[in-house]
Amino acid sequence: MAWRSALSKNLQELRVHLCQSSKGSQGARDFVLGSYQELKKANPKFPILVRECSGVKARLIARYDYGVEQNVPVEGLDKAAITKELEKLVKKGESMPRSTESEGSL
Amino acid sequence: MAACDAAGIDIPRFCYHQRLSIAGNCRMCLVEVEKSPKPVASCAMPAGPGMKIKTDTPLVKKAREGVMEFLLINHPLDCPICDQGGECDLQDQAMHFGSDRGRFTEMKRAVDDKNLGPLVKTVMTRCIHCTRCVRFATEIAGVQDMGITGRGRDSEVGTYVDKLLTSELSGNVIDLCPVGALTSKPFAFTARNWELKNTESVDVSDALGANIRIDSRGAEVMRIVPRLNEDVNEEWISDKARFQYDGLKRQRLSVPLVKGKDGGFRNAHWSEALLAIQQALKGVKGNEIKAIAGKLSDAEAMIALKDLMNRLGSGNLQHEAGFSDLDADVRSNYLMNTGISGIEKADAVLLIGSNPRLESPVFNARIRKMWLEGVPVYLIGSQVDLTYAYTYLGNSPEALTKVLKNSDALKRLKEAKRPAVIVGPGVLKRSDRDAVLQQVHGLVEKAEVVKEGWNGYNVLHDAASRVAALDIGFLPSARASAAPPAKFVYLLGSDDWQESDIPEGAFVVYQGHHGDRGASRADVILPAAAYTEKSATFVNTEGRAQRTKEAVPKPGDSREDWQILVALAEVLKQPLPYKTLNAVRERLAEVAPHLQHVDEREAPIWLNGEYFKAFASKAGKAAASNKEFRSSIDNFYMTDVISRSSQVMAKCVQAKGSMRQGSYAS
Amino acid sequence: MASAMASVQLRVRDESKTGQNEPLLTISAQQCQWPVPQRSFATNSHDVFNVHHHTPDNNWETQFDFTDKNYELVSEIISRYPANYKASAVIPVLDVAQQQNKGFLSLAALNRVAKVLDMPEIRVYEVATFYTMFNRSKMGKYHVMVCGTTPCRLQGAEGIYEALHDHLGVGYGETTKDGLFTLGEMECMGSCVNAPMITVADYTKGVEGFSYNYYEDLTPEDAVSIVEQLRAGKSPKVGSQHRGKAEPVGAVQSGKWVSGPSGTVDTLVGKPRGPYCRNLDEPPPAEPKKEAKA
Repeated sequence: MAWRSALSKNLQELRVHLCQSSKGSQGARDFVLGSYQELKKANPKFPILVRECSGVKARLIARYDYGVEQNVPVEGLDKAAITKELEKLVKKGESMPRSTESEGSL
Repeated sequence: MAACDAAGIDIPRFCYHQRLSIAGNCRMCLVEVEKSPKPVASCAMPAGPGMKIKTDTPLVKKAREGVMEFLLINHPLDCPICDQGGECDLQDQAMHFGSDRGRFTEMKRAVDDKNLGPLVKTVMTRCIHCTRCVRFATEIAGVQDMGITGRGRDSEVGTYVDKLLTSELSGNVIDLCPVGALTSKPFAFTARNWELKNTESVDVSDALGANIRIDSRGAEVMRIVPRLNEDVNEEWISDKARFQYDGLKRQRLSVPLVKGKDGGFRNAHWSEALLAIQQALKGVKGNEIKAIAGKLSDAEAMIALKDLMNRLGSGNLQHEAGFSDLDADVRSNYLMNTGISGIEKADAVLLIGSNPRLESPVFNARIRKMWLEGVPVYLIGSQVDLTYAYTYLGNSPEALTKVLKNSDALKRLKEAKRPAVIVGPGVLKRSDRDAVLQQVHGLVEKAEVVKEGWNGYNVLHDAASRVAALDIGFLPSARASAAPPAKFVYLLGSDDWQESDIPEGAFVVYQGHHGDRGASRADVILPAAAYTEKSATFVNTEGRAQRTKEAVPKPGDSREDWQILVALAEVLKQPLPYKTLNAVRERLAEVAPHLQHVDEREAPIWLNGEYFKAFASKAGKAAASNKEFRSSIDNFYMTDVISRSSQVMAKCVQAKGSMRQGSYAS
Repeated sequence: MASAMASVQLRVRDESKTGQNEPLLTISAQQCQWPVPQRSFATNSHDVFNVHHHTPDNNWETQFDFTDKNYELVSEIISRYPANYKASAVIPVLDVAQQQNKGFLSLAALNRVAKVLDMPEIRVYEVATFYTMFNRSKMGKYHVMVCGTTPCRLQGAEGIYEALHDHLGVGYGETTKDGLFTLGEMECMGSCVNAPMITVADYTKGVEGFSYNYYEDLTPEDAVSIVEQLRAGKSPKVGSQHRGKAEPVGAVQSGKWVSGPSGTVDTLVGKPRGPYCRNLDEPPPAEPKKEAKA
């Protein structure tokens, strides 16, 4: 889908926080396992940082320009819902103010 | 003895050590066992069911007094001039278990001192022949140089010939020696142990994060000794960790410095220095700003710098020494997935591009421990002495390809229930790294290194700050490679940058604690705190976040790294949202939540083949060149600013060059 | 008696020269006010140090290798032990090396043995310094060892020593100026009935011609004559110098060989007395009136 390749155009960095074993992060784990490869293929240089920690609530954190971050809790959501949240983040990034960090080609 | 220890009963001992083989030659641990005609050495006698062990009878008391009397027969009356006074096992046990008077009126024997190098001071007259140092050198350090020559009261512990004790773990015999025969040469005659304040902290000389205890007196670090941590460093630390502290007193930056028009530095107030930076940034576009983090940078400083850079519009961040664009997406790709203590469970080990002896001597001792139990070790890298025998497979990516084509090594790894592959800086520091890593990934899949319940893919780093940098994402952002040449470079304690990293004419700010290469290139110098002077988070090569503690005050006008960055951000009108250390740490947790779980290791998740496929698509089809794998460490004693400023380390380098060294048979 | 060290060397370590222990000052015993301590371990040879001291002919540069013939001997020795315990052969192989190397083990010889047996060198050093049989400094061509244990001493070992000392001009642990004889004191060598005795280790003929012969029932003149015969290249009579069989009884008394019993048989006649009790804490029973004549 087109928004997937827009990931690196609209965001600077994506972080996924999840717990290795809790039920609430199951969706996040499925999301990472299932979507990481295709997201990375579409955006090879884009940092998708997967950070696991026991007991933490699953989150998606998008970093835009100027250090602005959007923190979306995805605890308890399943893979499809998380993908939707990510799409929302990407869409939001279209209208975020751009700094020189976004200049240049990928 | 272990049974009594577990029951909480103290049995005195000199030669027994939990991590060494049993010698049974000091006889201090004698206890009475029912139905035994004579007292029994509790360190050597296995506890049997139904055994009644008595440790408080007149027989045991007499035995202990007797043994103590014998030990003191030839022991010189050196307590006032002996460094071990105050922490001496012999003193303590003589007071506790010995008799109150001596009966010795003959001549005591004297022994020549041995020269073991610039680190270990020997007064062999004090030696009680417990052989702990001999067993340590033989078993754990792997250098077969120490032994007991002669016999009886005239036996001498030493190297017999004029050889240097060249293990990187040689300083640990100082802790092991129960008397003052082996003491620390740099620490000799400087302090008594009761004057020192102990601070528990973490070492940053390599990526192991060995737990240390900093002994300080006033504003000076007097010595560094190891702390027990079964999971990381057991009870050992490397010589660099132990002895580089005298570098903390030399070449220190304590005042902000600004380069004048004539090229010379002049002292400045903090406000002046920060305003000078603001001045220099006028007219510089966001993406012409670059930041390079150093080997000893802590996580708090790096997140502050990253946030500041992002707010200024720059994503051009890198970590020094050629690892700039290592992929940090999935943690299991850059960590030691078995864990440092977990590697002992492996039953076959393949080292690729790594020289663990120089990169992390304590970790090397663990591999040696495994080898002693029969685990085969294979090496693709430079053929050096690692203190254990290994099967040498070659020194270039060609060798790796050969292994992949159904070799014995591959077969052995496949058969093993828990194979481990250790990738070292020799691989990660190459220009064709991605191609080599693809081959490594292929090997990992073919040899089934990652199985259910076991992940044997390990990466061994050589710098204390690298894993933290990767964890928080201190990396170039997606478009950083397309940025114009940098006009402003911020060096966060970085002294090993490549020439190509800093363009000619760029304005350089150096924030660090020692005046080394970075400071000589800089236009503005901001003095920061070293690892003994701040509470900071470092992540070791297995992903365990650990915190240092402030042991001594900062010299002169220096500040903590993150504080400088927060102040700079305010001056540059891009204020950061945190003002206290706790707030910075909360921000760290926002970025990477495991950084709040200090001293715990988070098991990284493995993305099965997904990560490899994604990596392959990103890396493309580049071919690996046939350059040799070279270790990132040329000189073990001089790897970072602190060790380069240390006179003790310089003496070690000199000694290694001049004195004869051992040739190590296994 | 073993001579006290003639001088005390004051050694101060010079920090600038790592590993050098040059004596800066030498005080002779006459200048000392305090008694100079004597070395207290075996004065069998020159080895009074348990660390290696480099000399011009025994240092890192010296070379040593077994001859081909001796390599065969060494392999035979190694084959006596299991293949993964080559280190068990260290003592016999060190013996071969010592015999080949003219009676002493240089550092090179020790290192060579370590290499042949796949052992760390320090382990070989430990074995070589433990046993007094291994000489680690240059020896004379003949190692003359005088037994100094009780039975020999009762029969006049000190007299043998005095004779050799006066004749050769060396004391225990020293070598003659011409490098022929090293005098040493040994423990009991098992020929107490033929006391006093000396033994000579012959290092002149390499491994094949090595001999370790006892010369027993010695008077001081015998000892000197044996030494002179060795100097002339002859082979003195091995074994007892004065008898071929244990009978007739004889002994060296006051430096002279006295053969035959001293007239009557007056020792060890009569029935031997058994132990008078099991418990030695009890007082012995009253002496019987009839006593065997002493």
